[in-house]
Amino acid sequence: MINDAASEGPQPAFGADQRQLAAAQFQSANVTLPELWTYYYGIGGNADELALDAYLNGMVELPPLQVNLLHAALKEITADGL
Amino acid sequence: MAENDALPTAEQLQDLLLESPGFTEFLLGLTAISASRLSGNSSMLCAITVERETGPVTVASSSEEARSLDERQYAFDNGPCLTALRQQHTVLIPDLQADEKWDWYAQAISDEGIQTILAVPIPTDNGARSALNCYSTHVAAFGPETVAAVEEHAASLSRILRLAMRVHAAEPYPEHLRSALRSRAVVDSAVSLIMVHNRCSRDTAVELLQLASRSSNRRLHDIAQDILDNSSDVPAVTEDGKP
Repeated sequence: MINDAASEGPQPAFGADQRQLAAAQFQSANVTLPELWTYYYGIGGNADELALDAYLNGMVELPPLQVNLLHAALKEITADGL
Repeated sequence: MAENDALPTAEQLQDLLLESPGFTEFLLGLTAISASRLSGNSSMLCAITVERETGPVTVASSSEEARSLDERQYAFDNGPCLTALRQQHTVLIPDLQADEKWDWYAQAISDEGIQTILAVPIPTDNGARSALNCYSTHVAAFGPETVAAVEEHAASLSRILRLAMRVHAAEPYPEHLRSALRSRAVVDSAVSLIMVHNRCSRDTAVELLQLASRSSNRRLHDIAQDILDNSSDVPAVTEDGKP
């Protein structure tokens, strides 16, 4: 199962779309930014809280890996709460 | 003053501490003792506020109204009991409606019908501060005698309150932070393993982990745990070195 890593998963959209998706998910997820950051940090994320905030508000770009981890965090948080 | 105006005995207070599962429950018991001891002919609402260096503020009240009166001061970060707590002196407002200094607070709590407020600091140590707050719906409900009795009562609570703070130390890290730290430790270990296995960079290893989580639709932390438990294979990079 793990070796299937490179196979098709649902790929998130790219660039601005991806950001908007993340921002919208964050809006509807009913979690605070510190909670989101804490969870994201827990799964290996390395950007700081300010950078996440700036990214979600369209102020800065994050490295692709950090964007993916942020999406993973949002997905896992919304799946069944913290 | 009430008939029952003896100070609570040390034994009573110790029993309360022993019987309370947590600090909040203990404070609640303490406000109940205070309210029943201090209430005279007119009923008095009591609340105790504790502010600790390393933990959140705890408010316990003999009734819901008293709790809301205390908490509203935190919304403004100001108010009679916060003044008593932070400046460590007694604050008495005999007639709230007529008091110019506190008229903003009078407006904020106008719906509660409170006329008299008395806030007395409870001596504590180690950077914590505490105050006993009494509220009455009558104007000038607290005469000098009552003020002295409340001050004496507050002083008598000091020792047991300090003990309670030792027994129920403030939680330095909230649960979700601790669980994130535990999760991070597992993820970092798995990432190290993937790096050694593939001789790849940390970023590549995290990406492999994240892809494995996405393609199997499982939590990243669970995948990492499986890898560490040796119950699932270490993700490998492809021939061209891409994850």
